[in-house]
Amino acid sequence: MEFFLHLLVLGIAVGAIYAMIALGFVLIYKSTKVLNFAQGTLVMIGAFMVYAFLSQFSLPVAVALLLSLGVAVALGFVIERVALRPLIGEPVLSMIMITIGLASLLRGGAIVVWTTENFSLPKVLPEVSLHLGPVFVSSPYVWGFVISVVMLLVFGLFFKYAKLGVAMRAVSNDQLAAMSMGINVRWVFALSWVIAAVVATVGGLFLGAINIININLEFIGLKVFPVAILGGLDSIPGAILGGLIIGVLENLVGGYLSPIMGGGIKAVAPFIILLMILLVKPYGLFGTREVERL
Amino acid sequence: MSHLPCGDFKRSYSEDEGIFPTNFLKIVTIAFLGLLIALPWLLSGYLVYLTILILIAVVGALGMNIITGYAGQISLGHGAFIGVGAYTCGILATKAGMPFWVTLPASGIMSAIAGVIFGLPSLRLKGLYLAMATLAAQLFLADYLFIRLDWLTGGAAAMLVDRPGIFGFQLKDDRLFYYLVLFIVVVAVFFMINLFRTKTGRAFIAIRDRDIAAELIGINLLRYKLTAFAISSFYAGVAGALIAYFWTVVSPEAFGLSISIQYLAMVIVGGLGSVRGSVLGALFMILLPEIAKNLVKALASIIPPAVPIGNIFPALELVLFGLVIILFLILEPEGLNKMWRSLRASITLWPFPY
Repeated sequence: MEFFLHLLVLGIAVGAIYAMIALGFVLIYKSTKVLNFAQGTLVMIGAFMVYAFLSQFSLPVAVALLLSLGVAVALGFVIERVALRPLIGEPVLSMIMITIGLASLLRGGAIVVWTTENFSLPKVLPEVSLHLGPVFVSSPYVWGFVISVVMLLVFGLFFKYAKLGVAMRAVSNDQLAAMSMGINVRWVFALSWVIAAVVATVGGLFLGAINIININLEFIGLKVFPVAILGGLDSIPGAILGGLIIGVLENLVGGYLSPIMGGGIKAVAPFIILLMILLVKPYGLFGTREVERL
Repeated sequence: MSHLPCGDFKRSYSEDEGIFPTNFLKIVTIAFLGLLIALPWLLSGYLVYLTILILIAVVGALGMNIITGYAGQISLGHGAFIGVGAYTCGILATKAGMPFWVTLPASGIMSAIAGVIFGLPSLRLKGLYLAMATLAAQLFLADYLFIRLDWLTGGAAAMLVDRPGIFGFQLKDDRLFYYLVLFIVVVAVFFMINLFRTKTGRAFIAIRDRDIAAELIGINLLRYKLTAFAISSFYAGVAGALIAYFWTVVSPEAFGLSISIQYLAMVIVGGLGSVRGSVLGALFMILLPEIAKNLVKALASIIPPAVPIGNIFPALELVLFGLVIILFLILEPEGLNKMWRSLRASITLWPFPY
């Protein structure tokens, strides 16, 4: 029972981080209908940025974090402007492929700059460990959970009340109508990529603190797919729920099934769950069912 | 657009439907085949090795183009289907001692079965959701099953396969093995060109263009989508078997997600929905890393040895791969096939612009 609770709590904490990263992914899909295969790479680049500013340039914590976020904003903006905008109106496959190309390009760049070694983030945030009954939760998990929840809340409020947030929802609903109401659709596209890059960087910071930072942090991006698809590609509440479900299930499978079925099962389990859910609900739990006309 | 010479007209339907619109094209094709047959004796050993890799990739890319380019179902599981073929071939050849003319079709069939099983979700899933389902198949097969079935596949360690033999004579020499691969490529290309002249092939194209409309005109979606998955995976399985025979080593990491992505890149760079595109795409994507490797060697001789060059090669390969894809998608979304056609058109029409 204690083991179960331990897995559950850590799963929720990691799940919140997944949900936050998936938020950026869902946002891009909602507004631009692009499946972003580079989301994991953005997470990896974000973690390396934080590491570079903190350890390699040894800047003060606040400056380092702000600079990393600044780089993320710039990166998101540049990616949208240079790679994605020329492809507006192209088939889905081209859109997928260009994000795969971007992922490959960024990964190559990261290997040139940071090699394939492992790095660990210096401890910068104050130590807050929790004892939830019998369960001990270490500091990076607590921070990751708290900040992710705060980010999700902030974005929730942003989409509900801020003018720009409402504009983004309008664009995802109907691009043409939004355009004719005077919304600058191009800005909305750029903004979704910027937000995606920012949440990826924050996610990278915590995932890097929980594990270690290396080039393979990118594969976290593969986990964002089941998270986003599970909830429905275009649903933000779905992404949050999906993040928690995948985080918890992944940990439970890792804890209980790995000893029986071998280590690889933990990484594959989210996809098996995804496949089963898709067979019952082809558009995920909360995804919009596409109405097709001839 | 193909430009036919003036005065060349068709007298019957069978002439109109012929594979070769002109006699000139027939001669060119035969000459090209002759060149391919002579090729291994004209090239050095390394280039023969590369040519075989390209030809095997052509088989895989043709399969990828059937499912993604012609039938319009995005598949991210091609690498795993190639793996199924390679393992089937390896198991049959080593544990049962089967000859290649049994293992090659068997690998194809085994792969086709896997393709049909993982293609089943395509009945309900479309577009990106289907891409995710095939991604799940890819990860489940390549990252889990191939490793965990270690009593059968040798697990994470490699499985060793002998080169195939014919009439008791083993094709140890790459130059001889080349002819086996060439024969299969020719059959594969010929089958594929003809496939899209049959009802089945036309049905694939109809499903790609508008699946609901296709269903309304009486195309059984379930049957044809699964047929597309089966044929595509059959090609993948045969390619996998050839890889197993060629490398004589089968290990799980050779069939990972990056392989699926590489094949996807081949058909996109080459041109979706075209046989020539698959061939050109395979040629391009196999040569690209080799060019990168030689580029690094050339660079290494220029820059001083103090600069660490060790990790630049894999990085440069990734960067080049990414750049090529991005540039192709932005500058020539229809791929090499379109470039080839415009080039040919401008040559035939020279000195006129159109």
